[in-house]
Amino acid sequence: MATVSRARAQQLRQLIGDPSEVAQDLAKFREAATALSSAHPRFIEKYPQKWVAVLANKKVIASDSLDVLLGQLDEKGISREHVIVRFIDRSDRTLFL
Amino acid sequence: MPIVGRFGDTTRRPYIEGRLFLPRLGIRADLSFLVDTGADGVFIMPGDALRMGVDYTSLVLSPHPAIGVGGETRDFLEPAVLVFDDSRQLYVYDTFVTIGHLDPNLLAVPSLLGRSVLDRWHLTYRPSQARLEAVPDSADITMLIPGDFDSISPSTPRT
Repeated sequence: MATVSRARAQQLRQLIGDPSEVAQDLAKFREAATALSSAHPRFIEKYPQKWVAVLANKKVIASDSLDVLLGQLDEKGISREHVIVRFIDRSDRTLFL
Repeated sequence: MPIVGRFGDTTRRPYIEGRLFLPRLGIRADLSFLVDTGADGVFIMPGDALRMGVDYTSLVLSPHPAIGVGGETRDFLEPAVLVFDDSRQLYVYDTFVTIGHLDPNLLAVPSLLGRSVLDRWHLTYRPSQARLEAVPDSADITMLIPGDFDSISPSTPRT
């Protein structure tokens, strides 16, 4: 299945690191994303027109602006790598890309 | 084992989570990608780029404009590595992603997983059964995940 040179494959393995750790991180991130999705109707009532971050422990941080929210994460020493961030849009906008 | 995605509870949009590395910028982050067979490649929206800490002054303009419903734009092209997992192994794609320009209207739009990756997968898209699965036909490399991750992975479709 590999389509890159052996040397490049080695570089990629070094970049990615421990596969178990990646899988565990992704599983937690997927859980947070799913939690955010299932909470969305409640969030529309609780955090309308706000940016929210759902952490791996399901804790929620909300703010009026993305910049402020990201600043709050940084201040609290929370890594942005594994945090799902979404804008809670009260309007039911149709998405066409 | 397939890579298991999900459908948004309210939007019903199809998502798959993965890890993105931008090696030139020293950045890695987990992302929730909107599955978009209409997108030619992987498009990182500015909201995700800001969350990841992308410094826009260090980006390189794409040689080609992008076109979408919003019209034609000039965005940024960046070498990238994408990783997805099926709880048994990691599937790794050594590729490029487009990073969207800083348009406030795009901040809340999810990043797109387009055909540069999707063309290498067999997709099952069955929203009526909350079933979104991908079986990779190819990857640039794969990495086995030691141990049994069934117990920790929520990689089962929501019912």
